[in-house]
Amino acid sequence: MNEKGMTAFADTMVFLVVMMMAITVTAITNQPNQGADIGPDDLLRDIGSIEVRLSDLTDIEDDTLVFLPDLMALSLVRGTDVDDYLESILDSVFGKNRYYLEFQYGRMTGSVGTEFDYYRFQDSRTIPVSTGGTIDVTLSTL
Amino acid sequence: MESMLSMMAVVIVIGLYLAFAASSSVGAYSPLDELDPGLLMEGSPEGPVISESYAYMFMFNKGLRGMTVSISSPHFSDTEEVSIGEITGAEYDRRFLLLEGYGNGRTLPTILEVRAFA
Repeated sequence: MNEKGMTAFADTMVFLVVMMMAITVTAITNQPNQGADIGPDDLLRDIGSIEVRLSDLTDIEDDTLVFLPDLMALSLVRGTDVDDYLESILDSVFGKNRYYLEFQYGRMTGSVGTEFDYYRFQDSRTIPVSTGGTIDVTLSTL
Repeated sequence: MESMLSMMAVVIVIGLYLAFAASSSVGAYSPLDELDPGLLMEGSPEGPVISESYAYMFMFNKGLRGMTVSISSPHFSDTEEVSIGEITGAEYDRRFLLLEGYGNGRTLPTILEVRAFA
């Protein structure tokens, strides 16, 4: 191979590497949102407005309407079905074992889901609790 | 000779890249981007129900062959599903998470899943 041919070959190799990078970037930016059409921010934006009857998720015979964050705080001090309810929502939206929800009220912490190091999406919110204080909620999803 | 081979390699790779980029941009289009999820549900005393009239209008407006719409509220209601038109062809799907009013004043997260067939 003469010097000209060698130069052309080297040029082509450089070009091919650049094209590979361009294809990779195009593929990443055009990835369809498989299962990611609903993100953690969508759920946390609405979680403070979810209202249920107190008797729906506790053994208290009282039909008063309560916000879900109030019940999440209550679930940290006494037995409720709140974890099961959160799990059924999260399973339906993100799929089983594809999320980790952690909530903290004062010094008490509760969680639903599986804790991994490699979640791709995360969002956190501080939501007021009717009985006083706030609850910090963090949701991570694959 | 080497220059010729190099040029051919460059032309082939550019051609492949352009074809890939074109197919990616076509695949990114979805007729469901213009769907208004709030209009696809109607309120009722027991909770939201699927608005078949809006589904039909949307289907004809977008020239779709058919649609499948399902709504559910985890823990509180079973999945309600409605299919209209032909369920064949290129498929697009999208899910929405909405807060809807249910019986006895409850406000619950509702998953709306739409599949469109073109």
